[in-house]
Amino acid sequence: MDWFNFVIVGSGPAGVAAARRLEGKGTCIVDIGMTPERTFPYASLSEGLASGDIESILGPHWEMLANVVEPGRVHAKLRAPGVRYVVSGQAFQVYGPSGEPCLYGAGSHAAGGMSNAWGAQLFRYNDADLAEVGNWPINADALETYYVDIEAHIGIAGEIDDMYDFLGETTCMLPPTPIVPAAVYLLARYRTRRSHTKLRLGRSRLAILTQPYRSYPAYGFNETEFFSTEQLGLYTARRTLDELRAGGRVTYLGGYELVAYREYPEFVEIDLQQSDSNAVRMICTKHLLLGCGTLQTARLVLLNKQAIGKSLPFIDHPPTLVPLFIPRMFGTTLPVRSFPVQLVATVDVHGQRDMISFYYPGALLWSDLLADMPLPMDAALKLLPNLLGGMLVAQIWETSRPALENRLSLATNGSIRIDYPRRSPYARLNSLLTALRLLGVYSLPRLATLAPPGWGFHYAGCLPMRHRPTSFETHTDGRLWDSQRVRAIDGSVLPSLPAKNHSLTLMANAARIADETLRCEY
Amino acid sequence: MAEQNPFFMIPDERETLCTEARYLHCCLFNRYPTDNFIDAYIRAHTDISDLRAIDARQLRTVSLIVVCNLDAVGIEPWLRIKVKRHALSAKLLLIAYLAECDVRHPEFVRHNPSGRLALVSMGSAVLIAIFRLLRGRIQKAWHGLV
Repeated sequence: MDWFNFVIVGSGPAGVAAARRLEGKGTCIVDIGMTPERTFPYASLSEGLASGDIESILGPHWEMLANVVEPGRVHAKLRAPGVRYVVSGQAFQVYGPSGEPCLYGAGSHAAGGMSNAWGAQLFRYNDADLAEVGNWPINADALETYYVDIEAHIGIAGEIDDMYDFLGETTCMLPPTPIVPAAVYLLARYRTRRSHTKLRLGRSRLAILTQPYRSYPAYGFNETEFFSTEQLGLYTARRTLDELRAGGRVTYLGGYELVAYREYPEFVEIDLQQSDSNAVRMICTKHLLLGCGTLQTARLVLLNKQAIGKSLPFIDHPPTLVPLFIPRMFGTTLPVRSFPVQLVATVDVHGQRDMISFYYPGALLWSDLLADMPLPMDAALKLLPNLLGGMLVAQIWETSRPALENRLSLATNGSIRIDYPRRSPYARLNSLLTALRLLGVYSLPRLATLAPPGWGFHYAGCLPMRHRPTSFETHTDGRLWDSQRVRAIDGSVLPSLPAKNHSLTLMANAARIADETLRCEY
Repeated sequence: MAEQNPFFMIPDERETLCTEARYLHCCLFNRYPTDNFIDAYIRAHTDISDLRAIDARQLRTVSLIVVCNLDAVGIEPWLRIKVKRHALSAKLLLIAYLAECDVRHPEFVRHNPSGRLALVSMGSAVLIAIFRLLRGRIQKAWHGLV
C-alpha cells in the first residue's frame, strides 16, 4: 500500500494552491485528470468561421446546438466539444423558487477543474468585504501572504485606477488587457464625469498574460474562449498542475476518484477507484485534503458520514444580466481580437457594494443572440453588426449570505440536489441604470434577466469554517468538525461571499490551510 | 432493418425537410440555400434527437407556414412569446447557425459595420421589422397558428 504524508484530492484552483505549499514533502495529488480529446483547430474564431468548417464550429455531434430546442440547457460557455469535457463529473440538479429544476450541472473531472472554464477575474477580499458580508472567522490579513504568492505565480493583468479601493492591491501587476471601443468610450466618459456619480469604474484584474511572463507567452485574444480550453496565456489550475508534475516534487495519481475514506488516530485510509477499470486501490496518508470543488467535497463528506437525509447550507452568486447600449458607438468597427471581460465597476448604494462586470460578447456566435432579441430574426441579424459596436452586457454580482432555505442534499442514489427557493431580483437596478445613463449608457429594467441559481459557478458555504464548529462545519485550519486529519480546502469552507468572485480567495485559503496542516505536529 | 439505422429517413420526410430548409432559408436571407446547406440541415435533424421529438402541434404550424407561404420570420417572434422555444424558432435558429458557418452568408461578416450610416441602417432594419411583425401578427391570427 502506498503511503503519503499529504493526499490532495482534486487539481482545481484549491488543490493546486495547496499542493504548491506542500510540494517536496511527500505529497500526492489525486484526480480524474481529464484533458480535451478535441481542440479548436483554428487560430481565432474569425478564422474558424471563415473556413466554412461546420464540424469544427458546431461540433461533430452538433454540440453547439444543445440549446436550439431547449434554451439554457447547457451553459453557453460549456457547449463546445473542446470545453464540454470540463463538466463530465458527478451530475447535480438545482431546483428554483417554483420547485421545478432550473439548472442541470455536473462537477468537473478535468485536470485543472472548473478553472478551465472560468472568467479569469481574480480579486482579493479585504476586511471591508468580510465585514460587509459577515460570518468570517479569519481576517483578510490571514490571507495576505498567500494572495501575494499566488498572484506572483499566476501573473495578473490590471491597472491602479478608481477601482483600487474596491479591488485592492495586486502583486507584480501586468499591463491591462486591451478593451473594445465601447469600453474605451465608457471609461473615457466616466473619467470626465466621475465626480457626478456614485459609480466607480475601472479595469478588472484578470489572470491573463498581457506580456510574456515566467516563460509563458502572452495571450492571443482570439475569441476562442467558448470553443477550447487550450488557451496559452490564460491561467488555469492545469498550468500549475503541469508545473508540479514536471518538477517531480509531488506524486500524481491521475485517473482516480476518491470513493471512501476512513480516519484512524494515526492515519487516513483512502479507497480510490480507477475511472477506466473501476478497480479499487487503497492508499494511506497522514493528512487528507479535500479540494474537489464545493459540491463534490460536500457530497464526499455527506457520503462518508452516511448522512443521506442531511442537508447543508449552499451559497451561490447567481448574477443579474443586463444588456447595455451606447448609441454613440453604434456602427463602430468591431475588434478582431477581444476578451469577454472588459471593465469592472462597483456602486455603493445604501452600504451595499455590488460588483458589476462589463462583458463584450465577441466570443459568442451571433446566432446565440438572435432568439434573445425581441425582433424578427432577419432584422436582428441586420442590426447586430452595428449594434454590437455599442453594446456591452453587465453581469451584476451581489453579496451572498447563507439563507435557511437554500440547501444542498443527496438523493437516495447519491446524486446532488440543490434547493434554491430564495432568490430575490436585484433591488438596486434602477440606481445603477441611472448612474450609467449619466455616462451615455442606456438600458431598460425589463431587459434584465436573473441567471438561475447555479449558473455562476461561485459555489460556497456547505462546510463553513468556524472558531467552534458544530457538525458539518470546519475548523479555521480546514479540519472537519470531528476530525484531526481530514480537511476541506475549497469553496465549501467559505462561510459567505462578498460580491467579488471567490476564485483567488479560495486558492489563498487552500494555501493557508496547507500551511496549517504542515504546522500541526501530528 | 432500415428503421434500426439511426441515419434512416423515409423519402417523404427527407423531401419535407428539404422543402422546409429552402423555404425558411429564403424567409431569413431572401435567397435559396445550396444543396450542401440543405444536406447539413437534414443531417442535423437526423442527428439531434431533440429536433425529432418536437411537439406535433408545433410541427404542424411549421408545415402550414411552409405550405401556405406565410412570413415565417414575421410570425416567429409572436410564437416565441408563449412558447420560449417554438419549433419554428428552433428551425430558424438552426438555419442561422448553419449560415453563420457558411462564407456564402455575408450577413454574418463580423467586421463590416455601416460606420456613420449605422443609425440609418439600424432605423431601416427596425422599420422593416415593424412591418414584418405586423404582417406576422395578422397571419398568425388569420391562420390560428399556435
